[in-house]
Amino acid sequence: MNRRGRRYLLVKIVANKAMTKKAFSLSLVAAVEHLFGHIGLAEISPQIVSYDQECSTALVKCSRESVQKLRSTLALITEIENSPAAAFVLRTSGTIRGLRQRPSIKRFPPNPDALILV
Amino acid sequence: MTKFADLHLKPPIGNPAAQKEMAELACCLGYSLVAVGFHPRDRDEEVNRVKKTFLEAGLDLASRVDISATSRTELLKELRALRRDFEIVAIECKSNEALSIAQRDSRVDVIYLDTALSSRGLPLNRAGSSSIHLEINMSTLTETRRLPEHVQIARIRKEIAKAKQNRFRIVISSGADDLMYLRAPRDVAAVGMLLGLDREEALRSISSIPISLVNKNRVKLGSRYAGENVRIIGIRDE
Repeated sequence: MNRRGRRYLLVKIVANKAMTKKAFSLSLVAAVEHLFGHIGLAEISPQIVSYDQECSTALVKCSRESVQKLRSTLALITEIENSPAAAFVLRTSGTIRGLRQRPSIKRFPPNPDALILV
Repeated sequence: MTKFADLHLKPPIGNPAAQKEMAELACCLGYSLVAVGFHPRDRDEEVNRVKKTFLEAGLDLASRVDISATSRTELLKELRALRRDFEIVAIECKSNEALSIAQRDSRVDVIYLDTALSSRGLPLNRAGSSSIHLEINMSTLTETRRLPEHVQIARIRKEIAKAKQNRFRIVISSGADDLMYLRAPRDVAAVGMLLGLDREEALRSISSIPISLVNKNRVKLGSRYAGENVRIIGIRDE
């Protein structure tokens, strides 16, 4: 049996307070459902593989055909838990190892303090 | 490597620190060119100061002015006054009259529509040989909440379909006035696909189309430009 094709996205979350994995996960699912409905959510099936609260980065998994839908959903996120937030896709890859091997991820953001809202 | 451009940034002109942060983030996200919207009365010193800030961050900057016109006379007057001072002239069309003139005037680079104005949409005529582009601002989806999101998306999709039918070149910009509203170029392209563009069109709308528009205008504003396809190559003393 063929394995279902997946894509992995490294996502940077920027907000004025620290986000938990649960908060981001709920917000992501709600945003996908809001834009594409239940069928879309089932097709995209976004899942958070890992979440680094210190760096505010998440590794999100989705079906290969739905990468663009997930990207557009992430781009349209402006709030998480009623506070302003933004999500940037830093990298996409077909394997988790591929994402971790890229060195330029460490350079983002250029000045982390600049991205914290006051 | 593909070069990306965002033709509509609105950093606070009086706040150099915010400009620097925005420039650094845009550079980090992968943009190589951005156009910053200035007020028509902004002086050259201010434009040069902002340009310097963006250049230091590693970004090329094009100056842009937004004209909001409701009538023909108002639009023509503004175009006469501002065309030579800015690299990009964008028109926010608030009436059918202004839109009709803006579409035919070769001095206009970009038009963007206020989708909240009319449910029927404003009439786009067939684009001629002029360099007119239709701009879709991401900020209409992320910032302003004058309409429910699904209505806003439906109206933008309708405008894009009409623009494609009329052979307009489409540009997608962030319209960001704050760091939080900047998005990575490929994320912007993904939103473009959601709005009815195919993958190639969406990528072109944030890369080759805006970059070629800025390059073309720079040639036009240069001292050697004499007219369409006419360039001064030297002056001989008799």
